[in-house]
Amino acid sequence: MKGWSLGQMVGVDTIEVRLVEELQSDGAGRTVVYGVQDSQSQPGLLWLGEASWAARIQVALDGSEDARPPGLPHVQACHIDGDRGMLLLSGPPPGSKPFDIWAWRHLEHIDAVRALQRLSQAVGWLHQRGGWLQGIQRDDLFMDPATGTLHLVGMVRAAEFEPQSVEAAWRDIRIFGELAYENFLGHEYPGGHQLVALLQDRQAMIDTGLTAPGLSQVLAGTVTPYGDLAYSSAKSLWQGLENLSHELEQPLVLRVGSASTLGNYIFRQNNQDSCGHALVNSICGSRKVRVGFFCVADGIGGIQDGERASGLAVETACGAFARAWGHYGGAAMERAPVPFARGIAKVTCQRLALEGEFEPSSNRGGTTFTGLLIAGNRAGVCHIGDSRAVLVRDGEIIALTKDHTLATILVRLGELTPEEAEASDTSQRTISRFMSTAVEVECDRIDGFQAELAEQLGQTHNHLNTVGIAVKPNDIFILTSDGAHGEVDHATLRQLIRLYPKLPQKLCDAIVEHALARIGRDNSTVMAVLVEPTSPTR
Amino acid sequence: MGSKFSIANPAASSRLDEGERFDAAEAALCALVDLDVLRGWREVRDPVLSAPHVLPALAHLIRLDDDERELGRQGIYGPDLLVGRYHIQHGPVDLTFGGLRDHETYKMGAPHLQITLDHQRGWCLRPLSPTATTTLDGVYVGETQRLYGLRSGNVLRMGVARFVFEGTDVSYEAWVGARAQQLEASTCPALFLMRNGAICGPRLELDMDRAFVVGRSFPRPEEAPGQARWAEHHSVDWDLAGLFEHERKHVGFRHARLVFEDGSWMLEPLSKRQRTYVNRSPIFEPIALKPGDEVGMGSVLFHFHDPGQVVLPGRKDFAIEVVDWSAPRSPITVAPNHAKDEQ
Repeated sequence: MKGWSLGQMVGVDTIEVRLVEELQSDGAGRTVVYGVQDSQSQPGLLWLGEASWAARIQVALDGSEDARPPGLPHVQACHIDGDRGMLLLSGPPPGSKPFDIWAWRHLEHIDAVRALQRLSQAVGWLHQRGGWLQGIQRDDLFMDPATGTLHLVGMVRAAEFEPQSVEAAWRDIRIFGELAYENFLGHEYPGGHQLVALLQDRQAMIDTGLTAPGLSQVLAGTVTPYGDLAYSSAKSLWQGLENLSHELEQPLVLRVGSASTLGNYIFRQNNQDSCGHALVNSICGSRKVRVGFFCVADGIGGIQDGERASGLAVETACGAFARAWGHYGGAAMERAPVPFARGIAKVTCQRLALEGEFEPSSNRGGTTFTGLLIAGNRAGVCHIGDSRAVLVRDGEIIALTKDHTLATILVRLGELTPEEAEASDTSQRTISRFMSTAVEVECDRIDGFQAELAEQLGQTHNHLNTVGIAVKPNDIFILTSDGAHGEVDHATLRQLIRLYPKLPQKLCDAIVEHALARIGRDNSTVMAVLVEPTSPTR
Repeated sequence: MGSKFSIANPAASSRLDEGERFDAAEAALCALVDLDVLRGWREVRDPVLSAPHVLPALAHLIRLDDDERELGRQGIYGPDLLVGRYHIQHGPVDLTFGGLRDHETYKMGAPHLQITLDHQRGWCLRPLSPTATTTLDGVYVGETQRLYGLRSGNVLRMGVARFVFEGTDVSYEAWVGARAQQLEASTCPALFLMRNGAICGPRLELDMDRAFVVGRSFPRPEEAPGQARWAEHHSVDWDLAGLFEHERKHVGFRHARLVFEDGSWMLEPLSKRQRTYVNRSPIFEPIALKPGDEVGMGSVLFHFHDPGQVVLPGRKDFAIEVVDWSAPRSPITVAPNHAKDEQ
């Protein structure tokens, strides 16, 4: 192991690697960290040190991939030779570079805080396994400059595993305060003594610009191991960083518009369409959660029956959403928006069937139903019938639902080509699935997203119908009944969106006016949800 | 029937049939979201109603997808059953399919065909719907008065849905014995639930001193959203909400009432939206049940059993009217009550 030079091939057990660079050394050359490459040019790490040190590191880093937090290397091979040990470890991910303070200071605050949180989880995991690092230096870290993600690549000083003490934890935690300071204030960390003095002088804090809520608490927790404010473990540190991240989070703001009209066709006696939405915004312990449910229903059947059915569907759905929010909360809905949306549709079907059974003379109608659930940064749909939900992103109109019409069936059977189906008004207007007051719709006939949507949106299709689609700033979701989308084609819709990109109510009014101008044969209903971009925190 | 099949263990056949999962979509949704929370009231799902069939399967229909892969299998548990879609005008169907796609439902007859175990010929099928196509190993079978032989491995196409027919090793005698054992378990008049052609286990035992309402869960008065009128009605004695979705959807919340009057059990239809049938004919007024009658609520069938006068569930000897939708007159019959409502 002595006399190695860069470029040399070295074997650890059965694995051969090439030494690429020396990343770290403890000064005396007893413990060294090398960056290496394997035969497939994959980066790795080679740690050399005393045998007892290597053995302890191997135990500390051992663990299944599922259990370990990210940011820690994984031991691939270990070789002990007398009093020296070699560890071959998985390298930091591609794109990571040695820690760069300038890149760190220019990261978005929220990204820096999240990176520190992930690293604190990794450190806490090590501490629990008896691995004390005796201080984390910046040399021990690699960073992905795009996201700020931090990785531990060296533990040269992890030689003595002391029994747990407050100082041992603090030695590994103090760097978190330093890095948080440098990111938020953009200049060099003044040192522990000076920071302690600063934190005790409110005017000095104001003058220095140390006013970000949650930041001073993190600094006070990490600057010293003593006192009531000090963090006793990596877990307390993580909680402090979590509180800081809540202050920084700017959830997407949803602006909603809706319009519905009876129309000006002489044979339409009333408006059988309904639409409704419920938005619940909450800030609980600084944690901001915004969840909304939006739906459109187009009634069918007799004159009054369609109106009652669609109105009942909207009321039931919004009520079910409110109950779901009260029981599960926004975070659970964000993890699984599509099942929640489909569950709301399912109970709405049942409510209609109840009404049909117990009020049979006045409830013989049915309704289409298209619902959209937006929770945090995720969205889910539920859909039965020929109303539509579309997403407008960067000027492109993306269909989120597929019409349940006879035209779709005949195309699937091969009895019509898609072009013939488009031209056949009868097939287009005959719906094949709807919520009825006679029979409940089964779960597998309540659509979520179509599988091909994942590729269109550039996300993986695994679990698309659980985790839903990502919601981005400036997205516009538009829900329409067939009276609206039947009269307003995509080209016209794009023009109207260009006219009113930030005004969802005006957009809805314009779409409905357009349908009226063409004397459409049906009621028209439109609901538009704009996801407003928020200003950055820096 | 000659034993050209070896005697099989009926219990082993039941284990095979546990692979049938008609409720996968609902189960997957309910695993993530509690629908009782969303609806604001509790639906009582008796697990007995979705338990595996207690009788051994005499045959299977294995559903295939477009790529010839097995999508699921349904057991045929009786020697004579109607297969296809349910439509209120045509009466209950013994074997309906959950999970059909729209275009498959569109081309499926209501009912589509009859499958029957003939003692001389073995399994046969008879197409019932002149406008819905059936093919057997690619050959069109269309004569509605003719029985076509059905063998293991035959590919059966009903409309555009494809199946493979597969016989089992279960002998008819073993099946008869298992069914008799189930019927003997009841010492009083009872309504036995049927599924896929035969009684499947759950039953409602009837007591002469009281009336029984058969239906499914609906909200209690304090849960019912502003509908005080529902409060009068709240009593369901046999809650069928635990049935599979494709069965349950045609069962009314208060579907029918059974009460012992003047020496017989009277069946009274309560639901105006869902149909009640006795021996395949719809009923609109209370009717006296005879032992061995087949009761239908939507497409869910029941065998009315009286231990004092055992009549085994019979074959479909009554005429099945084949309805021709292409005929110039409407085949739809209107229920007398509904005719009154619409005046």
